[in-house]
Amino acid sequence: MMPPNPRPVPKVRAITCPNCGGSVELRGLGASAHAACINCLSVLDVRHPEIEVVQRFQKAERFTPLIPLGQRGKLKGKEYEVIGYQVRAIFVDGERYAWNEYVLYNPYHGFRYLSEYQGHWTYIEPMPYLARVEMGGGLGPEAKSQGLTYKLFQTAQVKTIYVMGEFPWRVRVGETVTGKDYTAAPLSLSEEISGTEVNWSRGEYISGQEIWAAFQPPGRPPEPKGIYFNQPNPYPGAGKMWLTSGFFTLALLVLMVATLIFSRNEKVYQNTYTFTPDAKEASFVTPSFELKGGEDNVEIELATNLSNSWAYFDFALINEQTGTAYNIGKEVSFYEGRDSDGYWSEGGRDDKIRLGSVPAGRYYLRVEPESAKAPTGVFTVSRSVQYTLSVIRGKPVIWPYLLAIPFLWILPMLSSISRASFEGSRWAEADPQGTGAYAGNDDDEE
Amino acid sequence: MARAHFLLSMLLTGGASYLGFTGFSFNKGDVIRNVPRSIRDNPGSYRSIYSNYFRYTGGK
Repeated sequence: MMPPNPRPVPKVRAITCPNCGGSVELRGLGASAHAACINCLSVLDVRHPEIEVVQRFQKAERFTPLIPLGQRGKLKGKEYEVIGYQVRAIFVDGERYAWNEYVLYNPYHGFRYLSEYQGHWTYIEPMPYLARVEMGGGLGPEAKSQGLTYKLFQTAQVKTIYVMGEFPWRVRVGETVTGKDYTAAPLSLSEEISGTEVNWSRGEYISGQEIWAAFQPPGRPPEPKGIYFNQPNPYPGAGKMWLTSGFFTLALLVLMVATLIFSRNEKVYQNTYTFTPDAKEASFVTPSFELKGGEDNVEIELATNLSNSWAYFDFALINEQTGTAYNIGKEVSFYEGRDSDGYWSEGGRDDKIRLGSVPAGRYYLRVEPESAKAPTGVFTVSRSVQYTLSVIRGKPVIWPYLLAIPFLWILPMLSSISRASFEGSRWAEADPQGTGAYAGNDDDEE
Repeated sequence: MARAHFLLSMLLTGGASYLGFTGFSFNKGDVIRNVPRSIRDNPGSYRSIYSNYFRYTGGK
């Protein structure tokens, strides 16, 4: 039984390799210029009616393409067949950096290319025109094309070290061109200069998963290693976030000023008292006072005349109507003197304590002061303490605004740092002038 | 990311405004309900939990 919607069978022409006699399959439908025999790796001129060997090798390093030749797949909405594979390399500081390039062919749409380096894939289209190269503003040369600016990332002598299958140009192992890569990730432009010939191509970073989904080669796509020159930065630009932070910081500052202006900040009670530690009963209650508004804070302020002594105040703010008491305590101490270092002091004569979320109503304060009853050590303790007690309703609270503002800037800062760090790692590998690169020589051509 | 940041900023601003406008304080005191009305006449009859509060009475 025929399977539904059978895939069209690719038209393949087979020729015999004049060097080894092996079979060489041609899939380029006459569009290919050179083909490489997979058996002896000889490069053949397939445009010539009599197939000519243009290059043969005694021994050559062999590479295995991740996508087998003849594999078909739909990429960018068009069906392509993999008809050629080459390995190219640059040599930097004695190290060889090699990458894979695949030739894709569609008889209606022509040739496209895929390049792969350490799991990073780029889909490449030849450009029918030249990009404009200019000196960027202090950042080195830039290429401009279709309204986009690409920064020069690398200049190197690119050497072809292995070929397999068919190519639309006269490919040769050992062929060296000057290659310049420009980036505007995820896009890139490549300029290849060979003698007087200049070719431009435009690339776009593509995931290995997308390649595998299209061509379904065996295995899994290799995990990308390192940061590639046109790899998109995974950290989004923080421009919007900076604007958001600026806007909300301004809003918080406005709200903080509004809080300062509109807080009740009303002194509802104030009186001055004198406390004698020897008194029989120290506790007393104040006259009642009104706390207005909804739930708001209440601050009790103490201004004493303490000197080398302490006093402790036990407060109970009691609601006359409900009988609810809010108990708090506050110690005030102040010590001073002179020694070999001069004047010193510790503590303070004034202090305050705040209660949050106190409902409105009529309240009175029960106060129970306490202090030292006898001289302690070298200090002379004042026998009585005079203090002014103030009760303030609705003190402005601004610390939440001041606390929130730094938090607003954390995300944009982290995002910008991560993004800059990624770009720093990317550009640490850049060699725009090609200072470290040279054309290696490891051919074994006959 | 930008949307999450916007939402977080809104939450922070809303939260800070709420705390600011309600005069928030962490100190709520020790709340005792239904204290006797006789405190007004006899303040010494009421003792809060702070009566035995430990205090530093030193100096240099």
